[in-house]
Amino acid sequence: MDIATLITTILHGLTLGMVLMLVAGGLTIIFGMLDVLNFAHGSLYMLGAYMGYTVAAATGNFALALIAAPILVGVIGFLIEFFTIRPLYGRPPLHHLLLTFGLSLIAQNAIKFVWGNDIYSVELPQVLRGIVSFFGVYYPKYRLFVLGFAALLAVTIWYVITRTRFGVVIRAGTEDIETLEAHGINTRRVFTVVFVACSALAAIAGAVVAPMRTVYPQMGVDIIIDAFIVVIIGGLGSIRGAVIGALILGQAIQLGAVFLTGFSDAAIYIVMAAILLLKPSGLIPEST
Amino acid sequence: MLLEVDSLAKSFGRLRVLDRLSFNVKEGELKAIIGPNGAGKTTLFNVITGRYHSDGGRIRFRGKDVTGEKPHVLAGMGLARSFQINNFFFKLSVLENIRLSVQSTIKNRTSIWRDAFNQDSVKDRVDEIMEWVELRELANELARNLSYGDQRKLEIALALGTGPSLVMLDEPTSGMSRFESQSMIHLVKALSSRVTIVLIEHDIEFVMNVSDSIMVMHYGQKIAEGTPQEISGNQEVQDIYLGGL
Amino acid sequence: MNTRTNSILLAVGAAILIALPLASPTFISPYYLDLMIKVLIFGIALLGYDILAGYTGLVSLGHALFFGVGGYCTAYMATQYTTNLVSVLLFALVVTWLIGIVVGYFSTQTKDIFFVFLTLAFAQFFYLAAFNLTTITGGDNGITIPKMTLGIPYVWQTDMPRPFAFYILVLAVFLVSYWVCHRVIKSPFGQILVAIRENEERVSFLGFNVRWLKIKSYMISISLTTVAGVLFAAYQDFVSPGMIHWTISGDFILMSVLGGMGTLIGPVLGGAIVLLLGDWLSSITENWMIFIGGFFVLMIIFAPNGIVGFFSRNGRNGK
Repeated sequence: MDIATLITTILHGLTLGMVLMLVAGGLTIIFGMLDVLNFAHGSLYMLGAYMGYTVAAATGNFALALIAAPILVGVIGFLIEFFTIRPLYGRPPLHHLLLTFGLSLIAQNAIKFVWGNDIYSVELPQVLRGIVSFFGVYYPKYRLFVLGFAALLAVTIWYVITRTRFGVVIRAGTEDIETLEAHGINTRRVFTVVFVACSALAAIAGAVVAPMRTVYPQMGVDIIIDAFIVVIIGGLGSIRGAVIGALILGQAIQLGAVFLTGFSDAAIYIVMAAILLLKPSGLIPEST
Repeated sequence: MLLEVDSLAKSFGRLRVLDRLSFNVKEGELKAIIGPNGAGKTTLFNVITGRYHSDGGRIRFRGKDVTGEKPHVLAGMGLARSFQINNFFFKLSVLENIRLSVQSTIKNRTSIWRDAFNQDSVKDRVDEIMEWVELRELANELARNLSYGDQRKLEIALALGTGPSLVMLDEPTSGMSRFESQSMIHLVKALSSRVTIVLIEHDIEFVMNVSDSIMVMHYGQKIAEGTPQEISGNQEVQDIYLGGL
Repeated sequence: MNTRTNSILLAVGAAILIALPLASPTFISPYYLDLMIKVLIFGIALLGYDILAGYTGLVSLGHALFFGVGGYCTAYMATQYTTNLVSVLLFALVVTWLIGIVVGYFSTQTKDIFFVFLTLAFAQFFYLAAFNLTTITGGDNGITIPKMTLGIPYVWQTDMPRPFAFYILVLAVFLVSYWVCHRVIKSPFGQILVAIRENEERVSFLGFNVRWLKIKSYMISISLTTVAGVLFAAYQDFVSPGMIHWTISGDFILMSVLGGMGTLIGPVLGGAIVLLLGDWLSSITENWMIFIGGFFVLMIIFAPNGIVGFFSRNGRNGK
């Protein structure tokens, strides 16, 4: 294998890792704060992609799609949190996993009602089409855009979490929810805000990935398994763990595609099983 | 010696919870362990019974080195314990709770087929234990529906069911009212004539009353050990522990 | 439910299940008999699933692996050596135990959510193997299986005419499975499983080796999954990687929760409801899972102990 292919592969892995980070990051924050393992998180990502596709197709404006998708899905996220997740607080975490598993079944079939079983591709604006070359590597412009866009989002989120008051609440919440309540913070409202924000984040990820990977009904389920694996290997509820896990898994998937031809998808399960066997609670276990 | 603990050490991070602690428990005696909160008493229990790993030192039980053995192995050798915070099967009945404990002593205890519950020896033993802890009338009540005082008795009953040669009781009267703890004191007294006991307890009167020997802990160290008379006369204990109450 | 009402219910149920198709086709058309066969095959798998998930408290998202092992072992034996169902079943069980002891050993190192996903990882690994090792498994095209037979070779054999003879076979296996599971649950071992679910730490302080008991529960559970897998493949005359896909494991969870985990009959009921309702709904819309999903969500919110738990006053064995 030549160096150019290797660089391409690693870049692919990095792009994928960044997208996974956006989805898994939300997933782990929701778990850390709400104690909810949200199986429907992939559905929110999928809805983001469909919304993004619809807006882009209707208006011809991709930037508008990237803005509209998170807003529309944010509203859906609110409805989900308020009407289904909220009544289950205080129950064993398994109940939320099962509930959201049911929600994902609903979402996946609802999509087929509205958009059918077809696969859609999203038109890109002229500037993002084509290929760039550097150091003898040819790489699609749009993938670089996704990489940069996701990185920018990740940095923004990092800023919010580390430098703002809301971020302090989130960090405190993922560690110890009782302390928050003791400080007179309305945790119910924080939960809703966090869930909606993480839904919107998943939707952006879906919308931005759509032109690269097309839009299809299975996409939500496809990503949720990967995102769960990221969260599990990173350590449930750990934001840092999710970041590391996403980057590892992104590389594992892409390198697996090159080195394990014919058996490529197995790479992620091998990585996951290996990490869980060495560290049964993930790389960065939740402090108890 | 039934139990020999030799320079046992345990740290959590930089905090030394057990600091080269040594003591022995003789067959048939009741040894109480007292000391202020945070002295490391419960940690000592946890290390001896295999819940935590020790960082150093040796534990011998019935003459065998059992350092680092798992809880179920130790329990199988006849080392039973109760917990300071109720730790039984809340959704099962009193009878089922105690039967599980007694079940651990029989042949075919994990058999898939044999209906071992109907063996007379098991039934008799369960009855006997329910009698001891005065829970017979509540046999079919779910454990979670018991009064707190009765739950504390069930906690001890579970330890007794395994037919132990040494029972380690972690604050049996913890959280009990004055009245409730009276019957617990009677229970422990009655038990002490049947089995060797190591007891963690805060109620000094109770301890002085029932113990053959007392060990005083402070910041993970043993600061005194002796008969109740010796301990109550010990100036250091007076200063550190009794004075601090 | 006490033991007596339970056995009466079981006897009545069995009588109905045998009598109805005997009156066939007056009451039960071959179409419904076909559905019933699927309900019973899933029922066998769900009984096994309940021992692990409902009674031991270990929710696996990897049982499709053993459903598939049953299927592929049937295909392998039937195409290479023999179509004798009993030999195939024994072979499949041996393979399941070999794989299961490894997967079970490692998976039981973890619990709760981690157990869910570790079992998933193992199962998906095998799914991808079945999908990609096309020379052995035929990949996505699957393998067509000759008709399986029952009896003693050269003496008397039957290829179990469908649907009726196959139905009787499946029903018999189901009833035996139920009886076995019922015995297991009422045994000393079963009592400890419930105790492990409620408080595994205390179980170990009573002198039981919890890890080993969990593995034992796992092995019993997957054995039934394999039996179901063999029957399913034999009935369909076909296997494909879809049998190992995680959505099958997801179905097991869905059906179990709907019916009521930790009640044995609950998951079977849940399976019957999903399959029968699905059959009816699919004649109305292609996307019928939306209704099953909706029903499931409502159940989780309002009746998390499932149908049996909801109606049973003494539902304390439920979760």
